[in-house]
Amino acid sequence: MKDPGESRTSEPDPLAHRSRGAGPVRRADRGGRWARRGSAPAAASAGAAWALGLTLAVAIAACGPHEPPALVAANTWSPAAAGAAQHEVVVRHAGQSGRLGLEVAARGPSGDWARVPCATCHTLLAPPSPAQRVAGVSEFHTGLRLRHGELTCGSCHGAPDYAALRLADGRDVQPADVMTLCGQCHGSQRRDWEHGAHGGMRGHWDLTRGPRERQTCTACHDPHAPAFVGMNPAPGPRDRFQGPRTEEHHD
Amino acid sequence: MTDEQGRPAAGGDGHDGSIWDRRVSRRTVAKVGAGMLGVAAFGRALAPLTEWAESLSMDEFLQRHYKELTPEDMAAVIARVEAETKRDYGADVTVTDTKAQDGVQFGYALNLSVCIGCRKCVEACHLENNHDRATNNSYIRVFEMDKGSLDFERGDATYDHPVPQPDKFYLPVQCQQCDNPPCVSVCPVEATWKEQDGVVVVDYDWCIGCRYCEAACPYHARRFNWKRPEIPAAEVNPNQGYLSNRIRPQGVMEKCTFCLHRTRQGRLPACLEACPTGARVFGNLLDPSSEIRWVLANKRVFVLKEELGTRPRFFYFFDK
Repeated sequence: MKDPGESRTSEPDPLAHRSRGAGPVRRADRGGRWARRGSAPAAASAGAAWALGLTLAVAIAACGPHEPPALVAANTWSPAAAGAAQHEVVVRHAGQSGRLGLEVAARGPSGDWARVPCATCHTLLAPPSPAQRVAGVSEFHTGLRLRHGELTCGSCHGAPDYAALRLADGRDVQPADVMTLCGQCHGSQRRDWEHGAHGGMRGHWDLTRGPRERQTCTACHDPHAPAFVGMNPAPGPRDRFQGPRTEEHHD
Repeated sequence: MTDEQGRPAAGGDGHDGSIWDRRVSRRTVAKVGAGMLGVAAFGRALAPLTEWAESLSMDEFLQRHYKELTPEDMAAVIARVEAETKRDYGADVTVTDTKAQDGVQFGYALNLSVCIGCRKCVEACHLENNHDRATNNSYIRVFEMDKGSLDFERGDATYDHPVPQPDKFYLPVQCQQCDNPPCVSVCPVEATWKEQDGVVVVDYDWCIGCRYCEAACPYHARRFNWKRPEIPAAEVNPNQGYLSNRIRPQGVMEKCTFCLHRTRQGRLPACLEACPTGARVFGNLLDPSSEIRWVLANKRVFVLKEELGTRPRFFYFFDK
């Protein structure tokens, strides 16, 4: 067996695929790249962002039909010192199509469920008020329950591009870069995420020897109800000392 | 001259010297009986030795300490371990002996603010490290603790209800890889020691199973193999390290090694990858840009039982 450890993962490992294609890539300053990413949507004309634009273009081009659609090479931040040849940190963003847009599930004329881009309806409808609350929606999205502070639909979504997310200042941000959107309120979580202290990871701690996979906020948190729900724990130990707890006293 | 039965008379006592005729004294019978009983008892007493010898080859019995093995010895030992795993468990495994790297000191940190006690790390450790399936053994024990207290006596490691409970917090405990490890100093045969990268390891073939180290560890982080681990062939993790997750023999100690068969190849530990909340941070303490260094510099960090002077490399922190 060549790499038996990898074969233990039940799901296909998109990391291995990408790392073979990309190989070790040179990563420059970490702070600078993040600063550029933060201002990305409005900085298309800024000369300093040409490298980022190139990165995004490569990412979008790479998301063709032969690429796993659940994978977006959005984050190229890496923690190592400048100048070291390193593998990528790849951010997984589940449920996204190659268009990198939002979708909703809708029932078609045949009764089957299908993924429908937002623009299917929202190019025809008049844009709702940014203060529109989910509770007041009378048709479509009526099954949605929003448990996320005092947010309204317009806090994150809005015209003209419903396939993108909207920052508080009106700029668009792609779903793959949702950290920028959530970080507007959750700054400490965003900071911790950038430094690898929030959100899980897989792959290599040593990026000079292999890539790493991370996740966006929405991979773990439902953006409409972001609080972590409870779960049943995995089984506990069953050895001779760790049986079910009793209140016996040993004298 | 004959007696009344017509047998020839010999000497004055009626014996002719033939063994059939010699009268066996009661004392002789007792001696022989006691001798046979002694032989039987001796054989019975040695019976465990013969059973033991079935599971322990002469090569293994004569094997030297890990630190005294030459590369050729090591290759032979690894070949033997792989063959025995194939024979006993029916699994094709690859045993590696990756040495510690220069410039790497492993450290681990865990965020108690986000740990929800789901035991995914426990489960991942169980599978990764080839633990006995019957006991559901794992190197990680998650304590459900009362908020506002660090009293392990009141912690419950066997909870079985939905988590997280509102009035509890969850404290996973595994080997702290102490820089001043009490388990190492008590070992009478030097079967456990601290490696250059900070990981405390056990030579499973040198350990005599006295369990002193288990008693010495203030974190209850060591485990003893009371019996031979039972793992179905399909579930054996074939990526094995000689000092870490190869299947341990009966009667030896084992412990968390920060998954050194993974981490010494640059990969993250299995428990970290399994954590759904991202509570775990692992890295090189000597790399100033590593995540673990950022946590140590920017979070409120503490270690367990600091007053004992064990100097753990496993840190706990809070978000706020």
